[in-house]
Amino acid sequence: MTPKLERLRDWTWLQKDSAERIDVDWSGLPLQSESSRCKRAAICLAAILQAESEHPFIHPDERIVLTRHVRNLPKRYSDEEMAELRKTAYFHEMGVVFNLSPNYGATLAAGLDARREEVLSRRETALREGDSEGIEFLDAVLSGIDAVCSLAEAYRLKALEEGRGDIAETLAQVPRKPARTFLEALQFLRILHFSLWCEGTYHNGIGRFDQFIWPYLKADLESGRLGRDEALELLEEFFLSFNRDTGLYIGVQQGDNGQSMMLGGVDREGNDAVNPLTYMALEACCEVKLIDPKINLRISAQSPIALLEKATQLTRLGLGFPQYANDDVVIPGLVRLGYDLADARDYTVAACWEFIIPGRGMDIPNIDAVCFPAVVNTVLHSREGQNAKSFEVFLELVHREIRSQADLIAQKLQRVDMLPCPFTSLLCDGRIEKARDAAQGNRYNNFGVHGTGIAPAVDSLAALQKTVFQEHSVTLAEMAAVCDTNFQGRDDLLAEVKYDSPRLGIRDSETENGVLGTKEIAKRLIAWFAESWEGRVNCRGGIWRCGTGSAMYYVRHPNEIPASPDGRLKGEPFPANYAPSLGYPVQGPLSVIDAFTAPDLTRVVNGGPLTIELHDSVFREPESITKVAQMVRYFAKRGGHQLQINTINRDQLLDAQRHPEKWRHLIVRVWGWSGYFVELDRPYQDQIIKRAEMTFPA
Amino acid sequence: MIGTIFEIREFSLFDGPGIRTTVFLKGCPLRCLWCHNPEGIREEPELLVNPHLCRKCGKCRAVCPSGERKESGERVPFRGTSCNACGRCVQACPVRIRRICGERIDDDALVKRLVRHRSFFEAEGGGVTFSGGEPLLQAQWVALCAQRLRAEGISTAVETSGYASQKDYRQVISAVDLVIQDIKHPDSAIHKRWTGRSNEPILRNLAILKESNIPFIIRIPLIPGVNDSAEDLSAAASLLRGSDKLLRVELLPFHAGGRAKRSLLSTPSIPDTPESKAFWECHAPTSHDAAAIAPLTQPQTEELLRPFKSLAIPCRVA
Repeated sequence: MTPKLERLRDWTWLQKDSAERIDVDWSGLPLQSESSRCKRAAICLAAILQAESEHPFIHPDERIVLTRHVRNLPKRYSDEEMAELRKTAYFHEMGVVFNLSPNYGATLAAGLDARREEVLSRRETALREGDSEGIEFLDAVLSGIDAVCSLAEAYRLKALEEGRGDIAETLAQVPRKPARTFLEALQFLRILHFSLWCEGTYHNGIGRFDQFIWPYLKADLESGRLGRDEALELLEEFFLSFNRDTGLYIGVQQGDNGQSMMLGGVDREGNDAVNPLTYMALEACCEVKLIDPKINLRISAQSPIALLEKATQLTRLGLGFPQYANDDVVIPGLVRLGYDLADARDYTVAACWEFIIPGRGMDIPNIDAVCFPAVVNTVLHSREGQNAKSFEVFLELVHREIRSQADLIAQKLQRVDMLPCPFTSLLCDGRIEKARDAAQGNRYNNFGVHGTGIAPAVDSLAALQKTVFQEHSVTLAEMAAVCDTNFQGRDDLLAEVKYDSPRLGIRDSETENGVLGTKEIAKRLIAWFAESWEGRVNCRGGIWRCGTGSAMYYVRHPNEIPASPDGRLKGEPFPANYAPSLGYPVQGPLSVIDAFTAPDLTRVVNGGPLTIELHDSVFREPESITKVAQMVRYFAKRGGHQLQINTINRDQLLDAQRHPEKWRHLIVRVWGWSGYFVELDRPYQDQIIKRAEMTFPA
Repeated sequence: MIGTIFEIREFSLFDGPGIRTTVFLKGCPLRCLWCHNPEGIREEPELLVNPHLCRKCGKCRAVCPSGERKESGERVPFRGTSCNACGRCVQACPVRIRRICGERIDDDALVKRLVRHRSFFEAEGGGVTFSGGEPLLQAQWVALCAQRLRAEGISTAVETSGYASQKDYRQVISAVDLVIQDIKHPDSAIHKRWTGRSNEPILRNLAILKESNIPFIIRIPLIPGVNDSAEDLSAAASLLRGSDKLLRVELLPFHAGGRAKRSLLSTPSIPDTPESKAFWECHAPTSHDAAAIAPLTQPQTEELLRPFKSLAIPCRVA
């Protein structure tokens, strides 16, 4: 990193928690009287961008501008109004559009002037057709375009005032006219991404950055306008820009901001699409060493080891990314769910790991979750369950319960609504043509359901099989009672299920003599989970898809059920996402991969990574990079869908809890994102420390 | 044929090329004061207890068949003085802080277990490494297992101190594809002082290795004040002149991790002599967590590598 960038990085770090930002009193906005949802959205976006235009700020070391000055966004609806709205339908999370990956590339190539023309001409048609709803939407889009252009103009004037002709020149071109160079494309992308946050759309993925930006960089490099080093510096500056406003972004925890970027993979025709920018982006992250953008890399069994080594360099830094997605599994999985092949090949991730199609997905990929240990718990506590005469009968009841969970969720979510996002809609394919907001739907309107605690559920079932049906040392009713009393006075049974019973990825058992192995149980749970959603249509015309992700439920769900038959005491956390139970030594990462890739993962492409923790000492030798890269490729060859490798050091984490002031920069992976350890709430910190106990080598 | 091992570790990163599984063999003729795997020194299976997590419930004492069951008043982690590693207390312990270190296993069973890892080896190249302890203490068995793995198409390596009879040595190295061997000290008397044995068999076997056609790596564990002087390293380097098949020399920075493990052993495999106490006084870990001493600086690294570089021997500090 150049000294200039070092300075910018330090400033970014300060800016994140800057006290100089202002709070604006938005109470004067004419919202209460406005009944049109679109108009309210437009009023709010115009107001915040206007407020930002009054305080343009340019750091002397930056070439790519736009820094948030106003801390609070206007509230489109008061809490009371929102409560009323929520009576009419289910509004997910904040009620607005989020977790999407816009099609930035098309607008970068067109410029906002051309997009404005497109909207105006569509408005003519709407006018002719008397489509008042369409006109309302298109007017809101136009208002957004104007507000964005005014903000850029305010920055241009500020740049001239400060003698920054270079910045003024960039802003004279973008966002109104098409980006021509790498710098213009990055500045344009910064403006659009910034504006989406201002519209209230959150968890905006950056999408397939190396695909839509590479043409600009390629042209610059080929024409000699830009050298490689300067390009890298610009890219690093651009990456830094994702970090300066993160203190303002909403999320369950600090850092949970969904600024995920996808690299690599194939193009819409299926050709290998890795390019020099793929590598350069990995390199830039290695130097920037901050939590954003959160890198995802698409791989396959054929990925060159050089690419995986480059990515492993990033893993080694302990930033909690890249997260890998396997094209060999995800693409067929999406096609199976009904995605067009070309769209499936174009997949990216939403905020964390949920696979979506840029520009076309208006999915709600985290609408609910099924907690697998709770499913086992329900069956264990039912009269029917306790009467099960064989393990197969018990399992069949689990199968049925998985289906009833799906019924319950599907029934609950019959009316789902969201607030419009006119400017965001401009960046979604076909919304202008249809003259309808993306909130009303897009090409894909699917609902995604997480699956938490799959491994602890497998372990609990394996423990029941062993103790109840093989050894007859306890009955189902007794086990239910033991779980309810948190194994009080049953140290013997606790030790038996904890240490002697099979566990997925830890002490796997094979299926023999009618006794089911752990992998077989996992295969069935996942197949049943997938089946339980097949053929259902959701209330927005999409399908339901399920995955192996946990989101924050791994911390919430364990408190909702008593102790589990596998010896997990009440309140003890589940592993995040798709990973072995916490607190047990594993044989090694390859055994974990073998166990967790045994199920058919093409059927759970709502996403959710297998998570493997490596101790930082793994990287003490240079060839470790190659070996970890080989492990990643092994994962792809075995049919894994998504992989997260974390490099951590438990002692560091413990010290960070004791002395947070010393460890402000310590980055950890939480569930689908990286954050600063000391900014997390204690339960999340403790879960990560527990995970760290399972690192390789032990 | 039966051998005694104490661990099979998959994805071992530092024991040869590719994705490897390392089999640790139990028993070692040397008594290096800095030993990293003290649980591998005794040839017999033995009981390991982690006393820190003991709940003092006394269940271990109650099931011990050694006849020393009388209540001594205090309920502490119990180890019979005549422990024969029967393992009853392992199962009895409610928090499982006990384990039997050491497993007798026949070549059939071992090969069968390792063949299960074939998918790892085949995916990215790699194989099995025999380490220890000192694998050459069970030379016949190691050679047999290596030959059987070779017949299965699995590549093998051995990690050895080189301390073995010529016959045993030749038998094992001819059965494997790579030899990783230590030089702990070039001088016989000093070698004996720190490891309990003279280095004569080691140097003789090194000569055999140099003449053989088997690729090898030399490792030198850097023990401050013992073998890290320029003279010692130069002497070590000159031992390696004319080694066509030497892939590289690796210097391993000192790590005090083995010391903590010693407290898990029922009977100390390295007796606490005044010499060993003095050794640990000057090599104590600098902090509770790192167990490692400060990392080497670039000039220090260059200095350490100079004797090898001057003889054009490929080398690095790990």
